[in-house]
Amino acid sequence: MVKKIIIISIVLFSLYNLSLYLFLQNKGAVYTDVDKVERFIYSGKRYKVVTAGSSLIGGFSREAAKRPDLYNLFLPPSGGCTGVKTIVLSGKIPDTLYLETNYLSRGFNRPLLDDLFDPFWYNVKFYLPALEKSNKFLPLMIGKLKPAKLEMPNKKRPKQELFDQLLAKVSKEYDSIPNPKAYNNILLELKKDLEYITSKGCTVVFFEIPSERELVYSEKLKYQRKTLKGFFNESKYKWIAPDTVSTYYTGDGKHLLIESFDRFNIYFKHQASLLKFKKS
Amino acid sequence: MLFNSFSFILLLLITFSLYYIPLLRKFQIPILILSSFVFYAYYKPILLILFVVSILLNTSSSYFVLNSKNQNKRKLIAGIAIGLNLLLLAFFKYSPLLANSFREELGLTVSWSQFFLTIPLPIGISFYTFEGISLLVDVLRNNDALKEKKVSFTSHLVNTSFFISFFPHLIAGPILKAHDFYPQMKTKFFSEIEWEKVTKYLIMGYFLKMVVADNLNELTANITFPYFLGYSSWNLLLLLFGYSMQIFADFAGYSSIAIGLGLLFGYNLPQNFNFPYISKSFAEFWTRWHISLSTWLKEYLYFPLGGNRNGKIRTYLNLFIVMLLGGFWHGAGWSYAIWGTAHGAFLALERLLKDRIRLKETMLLQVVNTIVVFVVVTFLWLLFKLPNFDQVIEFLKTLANNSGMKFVISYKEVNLVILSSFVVFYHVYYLLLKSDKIEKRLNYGFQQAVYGFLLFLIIVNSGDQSAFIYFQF
Repeated sequence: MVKKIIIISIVLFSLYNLSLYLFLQNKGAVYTDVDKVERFIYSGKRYKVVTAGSSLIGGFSREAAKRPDLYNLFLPPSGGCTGVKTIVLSGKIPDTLYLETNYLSRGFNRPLLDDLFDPFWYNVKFYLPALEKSNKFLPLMIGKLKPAKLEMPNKKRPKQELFDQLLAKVSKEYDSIPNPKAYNNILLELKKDLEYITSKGCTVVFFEIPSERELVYSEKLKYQRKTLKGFFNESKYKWIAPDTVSTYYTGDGKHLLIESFDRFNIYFKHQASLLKFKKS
Repeated sequence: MLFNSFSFILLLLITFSLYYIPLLRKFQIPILILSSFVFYAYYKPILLILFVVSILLNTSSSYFVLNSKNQNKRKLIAGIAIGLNLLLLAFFKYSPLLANSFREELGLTVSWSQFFLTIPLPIGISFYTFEGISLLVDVLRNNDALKEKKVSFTSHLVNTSFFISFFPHLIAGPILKAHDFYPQMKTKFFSEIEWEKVTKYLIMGYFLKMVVADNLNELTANITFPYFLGYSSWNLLLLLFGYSMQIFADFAGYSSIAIGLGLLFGYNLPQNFNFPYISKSFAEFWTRWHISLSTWLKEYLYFPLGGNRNGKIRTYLNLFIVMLLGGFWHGAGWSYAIWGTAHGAFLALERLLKDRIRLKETMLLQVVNTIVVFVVVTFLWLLFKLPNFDQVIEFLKTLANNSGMKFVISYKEVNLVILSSFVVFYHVYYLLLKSDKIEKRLNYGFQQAVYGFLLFLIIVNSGDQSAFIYFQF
């Protein structure tokens, strides 16, 4: 019985790998950080533009769905540093990297990076795509039957009671600054990574996602803006100035509602075009 | 060390290879002890200190009780040792709760209170403390099954170290009883391994843990305050259903892996789960869920309290006490006590109704009973998921208030239903087998295909590695 069980599983595994090569290349939406990083590594494409950051830049995925040369490496719990490290370790260096600054303080997600860039498994997954987490069997099958929708920013705020709870939680978080020593260490490592990718010809552009009005000048954001400018000066890196003038609305204190995200996107594109203009 | 980590697989391969080498046969038990210590101390070697203290305490006191002829002294030593076991458990597990809840009453200064609040909880302490007590009670009762009377102190130390530390059960059970385990200690041979059983237990265990529980863990993450406030009542019910399936898959998966690993080394560990969600009563549920804990509580607590021998009122009270303490065993939080109390109350109430009302056991009644027990048990799991009792109340309020919201069916809900359906199918399949609705030959072929498919899913559909829920207990 044991032999037959093993044979059946090997046959199924082989068939699944084969079908991933032949029929299942359009895999639909992705959910976890692991999915997003794997999709970036194993897509077989080189992206000209990459946006990296936390869940705050999830709204860029709509743009990425339309533009094959753009990849939105938004990693909700891990944040932008992990995205940068992914670019460095995979060697897939874009022409332009837009890096969100709000959650660089989350640092590098070591367990995720160690797991995905383990030398043995990293290479094996190029040949056996069934081993990729982003190719999990059940989600892929469900996706074929009921195509998953892109994760969209919320259209409206949740009921007031919930919104107040969420905003209070975010306000508490934004009231304090990140641990300076830990933050400096993170930025030192990030600087090394960014120096490496800029040496390969990539232009790095920093930007901040807008917040609720009462949080725009919170302790955390003020501290981060000041420290980041000290580390990454404008002679070497490009900056899109935070939009502190317009009013933006969020669904939970930090994630912009769809309308606000679209407004920010217009601002972002305009500012980015000015940067390109300056560069040329 | 997690059963689903590569470091564990490596440790297992090394241990297995050394264990069955003919030249090393007489060191089989020491090999397993060494391996178990590595397994236990892998992340935090400092935990070994308390673990070794516990082993030495139980070894020396049980050795004295085994060899002393003075009945009063035997009782005294066993009593002191049991007390010390409970004291260690209480100190490491319940000090933070007591310091937090009764700071003023206990007159604790801020620094003392801080000290108690930061005491680390040694992993598996609830499990190995209960096993130590089992040993002491068994030797005090002169249980001949142990066969430890004529052994030297060194041999008793080795045997007891092995009984308490054997890695498959060490961190999250099943809780062993000394009289079941000691008689199994003898030389084991490679040719005696029951490969089919081992394979089935391991595949089922890893499937339940890595495919069902770990994926459901991601999908039910939103049963967290304040996120659940934004869900419709039907979505909340679905999430709660998913959590009920997750907690079963997580713990039953762990137990199944433990049993499979035990068999790999020639040891039978007790069954811990027997299709609990088909229970028609709360009493039956507790003969099917975490069986090793409920039988331990029955044998070492319920019976000594008098069981059902001292009248009905006393029986209800005993049931209540046992479940309350069972709740506290699970965690140092008032929510766990409420969880145990609720189960105790339902058990007592059920007993009371059973004594008063005699109903004919129709099929319909059985189905209704099964549904009622499942629903109540599932709602009580909320106390595990949301250890803050206020949040449980908030969840129930939201459930009542959000009935007007739209029931959202996205990819996540579909995935949750599919993963949960494996647990449902697992139970239904057992019912069909039990009622002879599946032919034996068909069953054999069917099983091969199913286990092959499950192994395939372990490889291609595992969730993100997460710790077993019962580790925290």
